[in-house]
Amino acid sequence: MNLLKAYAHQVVSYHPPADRDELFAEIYDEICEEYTDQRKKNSALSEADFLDANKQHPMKYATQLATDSSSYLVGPQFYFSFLSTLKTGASLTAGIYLVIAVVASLGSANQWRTFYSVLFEIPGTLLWVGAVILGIFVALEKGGEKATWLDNWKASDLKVADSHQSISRSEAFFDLGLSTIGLLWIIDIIQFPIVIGADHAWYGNWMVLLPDWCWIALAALFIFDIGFSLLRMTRNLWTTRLRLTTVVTNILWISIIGFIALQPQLLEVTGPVTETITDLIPALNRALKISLVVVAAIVVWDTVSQIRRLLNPIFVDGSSDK
Amino acid sequence: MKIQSNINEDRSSSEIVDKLNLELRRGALLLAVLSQLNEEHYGYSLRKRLHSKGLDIDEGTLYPLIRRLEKQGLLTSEWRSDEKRKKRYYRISGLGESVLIVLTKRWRALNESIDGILGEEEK
Repeated sequence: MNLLKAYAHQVVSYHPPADRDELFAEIYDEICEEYTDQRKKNSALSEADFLDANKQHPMKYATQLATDSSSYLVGPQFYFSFLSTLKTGASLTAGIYLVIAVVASLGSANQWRTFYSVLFEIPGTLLWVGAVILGIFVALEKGGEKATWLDNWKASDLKVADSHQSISRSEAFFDLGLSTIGLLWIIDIIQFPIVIGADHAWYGNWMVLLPDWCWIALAALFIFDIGFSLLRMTRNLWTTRLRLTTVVTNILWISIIGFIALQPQLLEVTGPVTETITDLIPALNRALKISLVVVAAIVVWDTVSQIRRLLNPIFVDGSSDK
Repeated sequence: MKIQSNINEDRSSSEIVDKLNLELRRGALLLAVLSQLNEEHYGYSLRKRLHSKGLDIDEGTLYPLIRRLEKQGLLTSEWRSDEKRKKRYYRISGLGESVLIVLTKRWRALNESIDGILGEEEK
């Protein structure tokens, strides 16, 4: 029975040391009995043939034997509470850091550096927050606690969705992409357009002229929009709170876009330039400002429709409101 | 292409049936195991007993189930040495017997309802 014993040892080796002795005794006996039974029908049956024909890979067998609730790190009863706490913890952490980054950079001599350095601390802190939350839930799981907070549920706790209008996933995804690209552009990770071409000459040394606080506000708004788009992707229906947040964010966007559009000069090419490019700059500035006005108009339209939904939840603007 | 698509459909439908069959069996196996442990059994003898009554159950399903039932206090177990090996004998507990009576009644009522529903569907 050496091979059978080796198989049983291999199976239990995947289990916690404390369980191995009893588990080994039980499954070794099981395998030996089964083998003895089969040998009665076929006396030439070797242990190897028996194992090949009847048993799975030791790790697979071990996995099947371990399908016991005590093997979960965070079991089914806590799983969704765990995910929900993790999401809340991550959102709060990111939000607090964003506020700290904006406040610290406004009071600092080197605003961008301060802003980046605070933001770069977010991933590390998120890991810590995740580890602490995981630790708490593992302790609850192992301590045999019950998710009693879920027992005290009342239907009145449900968040009422206004007009039951579903959130468009594609719209949220589009916003997410746009905000991410915007943020990456502001922090110089991506650059576009790289060059301005005129009169067979290419100018790479151009810059957008904006005050520092404006860049920081744009970065903060893009970061907020990334988080908000992700949140919308996890929700099914619009709620009053989500609409209000959209309206407030849109108003901030309209204000900042309006401010940028009112700047006398937005684009500047530095270094030696030809006459053509000097003539072209005012036209580029105008084009940029017109684009900004178009963007602002789209945001205004979105804001107005959100406000109308808020004031009249059963308002139907041609789309299905189911 | 069409043959390949039919093969894939058959495979996926067979996977779904296998998964649902596992769910369907779960509650039934619990009742079967509890009911057979009014007599003392060790793992393999219990499997053989169930097999002789037309119900096959593999070790990967039986042992976790037995352990869970024991943890819930529905079974008791005792280690004994038999020939050259140690064996763990299981038996239904007092609590297990009461639970079995209630569950058997519920199983029969459920079975009757489901039979009625499925009977209507077949008509």
